Amino acid sequence: MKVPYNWLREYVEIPLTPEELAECLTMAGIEVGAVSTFAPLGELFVAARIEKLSPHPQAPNLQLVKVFSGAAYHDIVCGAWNIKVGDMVPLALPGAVLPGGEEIRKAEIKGVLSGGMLCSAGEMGLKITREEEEDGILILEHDSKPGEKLVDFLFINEPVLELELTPNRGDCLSMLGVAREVAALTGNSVTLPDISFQEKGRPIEELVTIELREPELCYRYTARMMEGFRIAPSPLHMQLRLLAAGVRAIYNLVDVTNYVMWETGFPMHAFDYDCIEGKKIIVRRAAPGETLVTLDGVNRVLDEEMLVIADEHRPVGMAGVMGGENTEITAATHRLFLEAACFNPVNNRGTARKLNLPSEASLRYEKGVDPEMAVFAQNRAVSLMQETAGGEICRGLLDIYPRQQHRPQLKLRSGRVKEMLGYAVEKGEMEKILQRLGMHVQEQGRFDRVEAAPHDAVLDVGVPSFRPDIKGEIDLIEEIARIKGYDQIPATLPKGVITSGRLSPQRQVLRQVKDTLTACGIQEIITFSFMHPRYFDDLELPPEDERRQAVKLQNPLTEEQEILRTTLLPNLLRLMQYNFNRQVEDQFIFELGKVYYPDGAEYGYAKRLPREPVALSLALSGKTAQNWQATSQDVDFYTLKGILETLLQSLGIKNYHWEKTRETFLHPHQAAGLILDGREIGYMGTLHVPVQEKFSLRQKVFVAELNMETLLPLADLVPRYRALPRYPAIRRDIAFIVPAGTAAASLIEEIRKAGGSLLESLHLFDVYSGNQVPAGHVSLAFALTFRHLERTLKDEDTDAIMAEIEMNMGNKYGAVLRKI
Amino acid sequence: MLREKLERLRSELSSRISAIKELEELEKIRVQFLGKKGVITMLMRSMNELPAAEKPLLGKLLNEVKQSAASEIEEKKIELQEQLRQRQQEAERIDVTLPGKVFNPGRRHPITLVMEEIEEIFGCMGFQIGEGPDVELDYYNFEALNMPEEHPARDMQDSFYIDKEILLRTHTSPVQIRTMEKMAPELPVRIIAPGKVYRRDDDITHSPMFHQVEGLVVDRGISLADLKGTLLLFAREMFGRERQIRLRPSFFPFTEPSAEVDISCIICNGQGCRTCGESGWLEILGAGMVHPRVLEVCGYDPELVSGFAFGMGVERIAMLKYGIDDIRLFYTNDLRMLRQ
Repeated sequence: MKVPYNWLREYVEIPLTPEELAECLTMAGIEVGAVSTFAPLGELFVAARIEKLSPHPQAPNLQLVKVFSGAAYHDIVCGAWNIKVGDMVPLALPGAVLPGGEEIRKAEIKGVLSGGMLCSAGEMGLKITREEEEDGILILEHDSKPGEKLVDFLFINEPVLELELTPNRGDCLSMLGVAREVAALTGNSVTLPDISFQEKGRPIEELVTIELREPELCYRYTARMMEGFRIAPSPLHMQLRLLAAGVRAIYNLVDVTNYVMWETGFPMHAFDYDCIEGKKIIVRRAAPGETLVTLDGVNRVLDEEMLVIADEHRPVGMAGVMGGENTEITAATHRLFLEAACFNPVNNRGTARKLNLPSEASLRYEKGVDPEMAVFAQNRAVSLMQETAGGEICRGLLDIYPRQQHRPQLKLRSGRVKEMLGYAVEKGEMEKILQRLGMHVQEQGRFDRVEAAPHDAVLDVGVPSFRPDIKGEIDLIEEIARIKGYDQIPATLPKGVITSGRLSPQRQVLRQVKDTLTACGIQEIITFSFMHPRYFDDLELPPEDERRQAVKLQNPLTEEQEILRTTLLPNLLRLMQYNFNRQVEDQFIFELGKVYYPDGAEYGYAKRLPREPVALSLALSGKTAQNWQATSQDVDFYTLKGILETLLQSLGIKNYHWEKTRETFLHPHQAAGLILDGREIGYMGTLHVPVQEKFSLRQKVFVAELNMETLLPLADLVPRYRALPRYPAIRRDIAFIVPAGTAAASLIEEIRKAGGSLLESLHLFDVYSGNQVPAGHVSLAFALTFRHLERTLKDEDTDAIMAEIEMNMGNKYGAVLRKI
Repeated sequence: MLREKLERLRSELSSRISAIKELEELEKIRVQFLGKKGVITMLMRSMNELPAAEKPLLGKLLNEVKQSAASEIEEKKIELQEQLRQRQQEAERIDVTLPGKVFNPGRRHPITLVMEEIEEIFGCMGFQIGEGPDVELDYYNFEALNMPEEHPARDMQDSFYIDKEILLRTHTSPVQIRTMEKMAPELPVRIIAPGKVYRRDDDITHSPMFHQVEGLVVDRGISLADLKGTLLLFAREMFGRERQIRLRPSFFPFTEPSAEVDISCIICNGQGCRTCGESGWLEILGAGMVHPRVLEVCGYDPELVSGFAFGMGVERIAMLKYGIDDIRLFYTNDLRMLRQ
């Protein structure tokens, strides 16, 4: 909502500059986004009277104009011909700057010195409508005086407050509404414009009848009629005023309805009376399939949810949304039917949406128009129409108002005000604030004081019809706080018992995950919860894979965001591709976030929401960090596995193991599943080459994804103390040559079994295949540490174990001891 | 005779010691003169053979020779050891200006950093973390928050729908309802709810997914002043001791009175600059007193208890904190940016 400062001043005295007013309104909840300037032309444009016209000696297409600007005469060279002696015109004096940036100078034009420029509206950047030719000099209204600055009587350099209203304050979609706010804030009062007009001609009852069939959808319908007017552009003054408020002027009658809507907030519509068939207006629901060509020329198909204004035979307008072409005011119109009605906000909004026809009128209707303003708006409109277009106003006003809305009566307790705001407000002050806001305030008699505490003052407050947003005591409390100013609120802290704000164990574990992974050099990323279903195919997931059963959005922004992700992997891979393309070769990333699974058969049936388990996904590619001493190493399967094992260790998870796994998107022989508590809770491995290519990844990628929902409850962040050993340990190294393909895990298990409780730790420190071992074989070297908790171990103790290990390994795996 | 011999011995020894360059040589000298079979030791032994009259004098002289030899050797030893250490250290000289071997830890995403900081500040004030689903029922996202169907306030939020009744939550406020439903009639309620929210918008200042942190306190006697004090404390913890806050009246369907909350600009400290649009203030969150109807819906008697709620955009705070000007950068995840 644009509010020209000087227009507003017609209704209320404002002891503030536009900037101060903006600040004051903003701090009262009527946010002013900006104060802009309409037609910023400066002071050097003045009104001048044309004194003499003579031909240019050199150029037949130019004329010489002598003008008087109050203080001096100026000789101007001019190319326009729509002017005559006595006309008042705008003169740009030397130094004036046109909106395009061009500065006016004294200049010689074809041998004659021109002392300025006479301007057309277009040259001054004013988009007004005129009867005369568009590019002629703008003729000013006759009551302007030579030398008067345009700034002082046109809306030139007009400060315009741009309001950003909250949806509850539809009342401020009008000059009067804003004026009421200003009045409440400054203590001044609102002055309504004077309305005077003469009714003549036939009584309106004889000309038209109104039938209101839908009192639930139309609370009030009023009408007036006029005839004998002259349709023409509005006076310059009105046009510029509307322009400053952001409304394009069209012609006088329509401009007046807009003017009144801006002034009062009450939308109006003018019909060509002679096009109304049967001389009857019916407010009814549209019949299904009924059509209407609206003013924008579009043929609309209507349904019975939509309210129409109809005549005896057909719809002539969409109620409160847009008029019909069949009753449009044209140059030929000589009788006018003027509607000022109040429609149901919800229904109006629905219709405007369905027809995709947002308008200034429906904007106001959907926020609630004050039915009490209807008659004022009618009278204001006809008086302005008569002023600008002449004509006669028919006698009387039709007013169908089946259910007068009564003002809500609210109680306001002083104790409640203090409780909610945290500070007390004097009873007298509350009364004053509420009255300034147009409320009717009375102190309640003692006998009625049932609900209030004994010491409370209780006010009975009548809410005016223009504030439908005030429905309860709490709204009145807000009004008091708002007008007093939120800066009056003291800052205190809630009192009460102490509560713990510690993180839940689950959240602590999730933080530990981030701590460990970042310490391992992995960067956290956050991607959208959406994904493209195509990626399931790119991952080559089988048709029956659970992950394909994703939650689908009804109205995604793009295909890329069509479903909710069931796996984090595709977003990570896409991100890697993005970063590879930006020459980031070494990427170590993880995301910890929710994935979404529809809840199977029950979904949609019993209002069941999707499951939202947290998942962890990692992707590595490139080389580890290098420095001038050490060259970097390619990351590989084991880098990733090591990181996962570090993670599990940091979470206190021990009883897990890895098994071969099948994921279509992993290398068939470089993939492992993490088994915890007998369940596979995730996978890791090398991205399968075809998948790598589908995602346009130019180098090898290692990926993992874990279901944190299963893992979280098993995590244990509290380490247990074990008594430090008092006896020395014995270290034994042993290496075996085994056939290639023997799983290291099974050898380790074998050694553990034989080692029993004496084997304190086992560490695989070397894997070798090459000249030193037979072809098709590999050597694995282990460092074993033995310790007895109660005594010093002797070599004999371990010799037996080592022998057993050697024997078992030989028997089971064909392992041969390798001499180290 | 013997006396002269001793004098000679003393001076010879002295000059030999001072000429020594290596520790090993010094040790040899020490053995040669002071060792078990050393010259001086032998002389000491032969003292008994001297006439009694000469004994005290020569004995004293010999002792002096022995002691001066021992102390000269000791001094020399310290000197040589020091020289040796210096030579060794010289050999160990390095270029201290060569770069160190850096560990490259990963980092948390900037959004995570800000969320965790907010969690910590409110955690220290006794706020538990409340949770709710991303995919939410219309009831929790709108209806229970005083936005029945066709409420004009739904205009402010264009939502992603799954079906008629299920949508991606457009704010974290549904967690208010879920928390109160679960806790009523117990008091106090003190939670924050960080999480993802979704709106159908995508441009330089809007992302279809972003993060919010909701706050809710319900108890007896909670006032707007308590809201102001709590947020002032938060603003100072988050943005520095000297921060001021400003509340402006606003509108949310589920709070009344409602407020937009500004902090004094963190760039110019309220003087006016480009970041704050010359106003000196930055809007960071919306807040208000929980609407009595919302309390009622959740099972609290609004005549007996009251509460405040607030909600802030994490991206907005992160943008201010890190000087980022395009919200979409958070989800582009350009590693060159994340590593900064």
